[in-house]
Amino acid sequence: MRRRTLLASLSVAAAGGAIGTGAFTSVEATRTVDVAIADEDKALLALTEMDPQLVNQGTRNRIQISIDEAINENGGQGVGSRSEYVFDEVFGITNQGTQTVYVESEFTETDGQSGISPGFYVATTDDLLLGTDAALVVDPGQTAAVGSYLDVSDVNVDYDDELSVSREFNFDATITAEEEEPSDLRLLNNEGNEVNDGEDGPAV
Amino acid sequence: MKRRSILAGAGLLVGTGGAALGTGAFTSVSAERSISIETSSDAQAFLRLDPDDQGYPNSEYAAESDGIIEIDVTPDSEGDFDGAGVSPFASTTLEEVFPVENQGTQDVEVSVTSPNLSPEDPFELFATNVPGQSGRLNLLDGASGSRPIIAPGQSFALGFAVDTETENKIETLNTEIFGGSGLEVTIIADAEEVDGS
Amino acid sequence: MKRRTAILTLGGLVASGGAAMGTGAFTSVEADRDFAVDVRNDDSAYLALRPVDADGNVVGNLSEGDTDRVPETPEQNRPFSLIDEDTGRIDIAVTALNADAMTVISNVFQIDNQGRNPIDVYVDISYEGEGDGNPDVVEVSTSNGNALDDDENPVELGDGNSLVVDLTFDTSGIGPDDAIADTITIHGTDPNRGESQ
Repeated sequence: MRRRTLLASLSVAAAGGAIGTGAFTSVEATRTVDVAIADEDKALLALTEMDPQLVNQGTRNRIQISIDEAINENGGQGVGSRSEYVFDEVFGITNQGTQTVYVESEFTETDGQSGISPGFYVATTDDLLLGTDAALVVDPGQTAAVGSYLDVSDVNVDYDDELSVSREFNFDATITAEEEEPSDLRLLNNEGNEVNDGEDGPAV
Repeated sequence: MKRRSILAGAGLLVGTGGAALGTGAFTSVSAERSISIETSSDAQAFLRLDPDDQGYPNSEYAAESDGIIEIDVTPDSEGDFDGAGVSPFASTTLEEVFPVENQGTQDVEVSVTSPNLSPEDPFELFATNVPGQSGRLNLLDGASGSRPIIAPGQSFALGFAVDTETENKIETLNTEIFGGSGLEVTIIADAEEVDGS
Repeated sequence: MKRRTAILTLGGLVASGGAAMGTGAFTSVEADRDFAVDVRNDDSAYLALRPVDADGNVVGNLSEGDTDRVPETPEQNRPFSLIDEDTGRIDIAVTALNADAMTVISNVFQIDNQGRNPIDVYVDISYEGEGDGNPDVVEVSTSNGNALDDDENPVELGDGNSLVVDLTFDTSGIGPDDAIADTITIHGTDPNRGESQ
């Protein structure tokens, strides 16, 4: 005689859409998450060099902006004091993600000096600075050209016939792109034109 | 002695192999029944993970392969976006990639575990749109704060954040966290973790 | 000052105590980038301003009382323009004008385009001090006779090129106690601005 064991009855909820009587006590599902870190100019929010004399691409093409003697061979080595300077199309922002983003920026001095107030602006709209006066609206697939504005106050730089003196100012430019529309700033499209009520300007 | 066979309803197979069934107490019985076990795609299962539900724009960062969901923000992703990954030397946050829905009958607490992930790492999975809660809840078991609880029919949105602010963090992400074919995470929905259940 | 939303930070700074982290940015990228600017004196700046001698040639810096090399009247014992050694900025001074007269002073200073693109130049004269000035007394022109103070007709200055500035003063009705002007602003704009490069 073969022994048989008494089988306990199982109460198994049928799967496939019909939920049976059983509440599940736990479910564990193992899934994969894969996130790559792209180079700066390939990322979801890509930052690209547009002005090679003002922008350097560092590690992973991270952009660095310098306004100094490397600009040309005409002897100009920097900006003058008590002046406003505007440089169009310094770097580009391309939205390679899935949602429209609103871009702002903020500058923080990193060497403790005051004397320059910098800002970013879009296209040729240099009177509306990002983060202060306006936010830049970039739809997926669009690129915006960002310029640099400098308001240099009475920074004193020694003048001597024999010497070349420079006063260097360093900032962290914090660029943010958010999906949430800001309520307190004017909205500009990638051509620098104002958009209203969520309408977008013409695509580039 | 007359043989008897004992019938026990549809689908009963009397124990085979010549078991002697007598008239009284039986020494043993085995009763076979049919059982249906099927798995569902993540979009249909008890713990429903369906990027097409809710129409989240960030659902492009999730993909389904043979019914199994995965998050894919790499150059090989088939999602509708041009980026090859997140920005270096930055902080990237993507909310609402896909909803996690309770299609069971009890409240469950949801968390994730992963052998390659700890709360100090520069990668985080979090929940938003948690019923009764504002802001984001870290999903990682062992992180500070509480995990989301969803009742039957309720859902929350799963999102993630990546901190690539230093080369060290990028190295950690590339080699220790997402090295190889990506990060394996286990999503756990546990009814027993919920008070009173 | 612009408002700031809190950005989710990772690596252990995820919220303690159980609830919301971040304050509502749904999808965000935040990146810190280096931005460096060199400020130079007026001799070395992209838009340079330099003293010139009576023949319109640039001279090294001139000190007050340097009467041999500068056009001046006996009453003015300093050059019409010199770069302040401490500030690095050019100071222009014409301080012995006759009242009720027309005075032309040639070769007051030079404008150098040390930048990398042509600029359309115009100059305006203003009075920013207390009370009223009379900036219209002053007309600005190039040593070639082109008006420099008409913003609708700027003078194009190629990169690497320079122009020398003459000033003409019409002091009809202006006496020694009248303020004339205290500020000169040099404007230069790329005439090709907005065109693709």
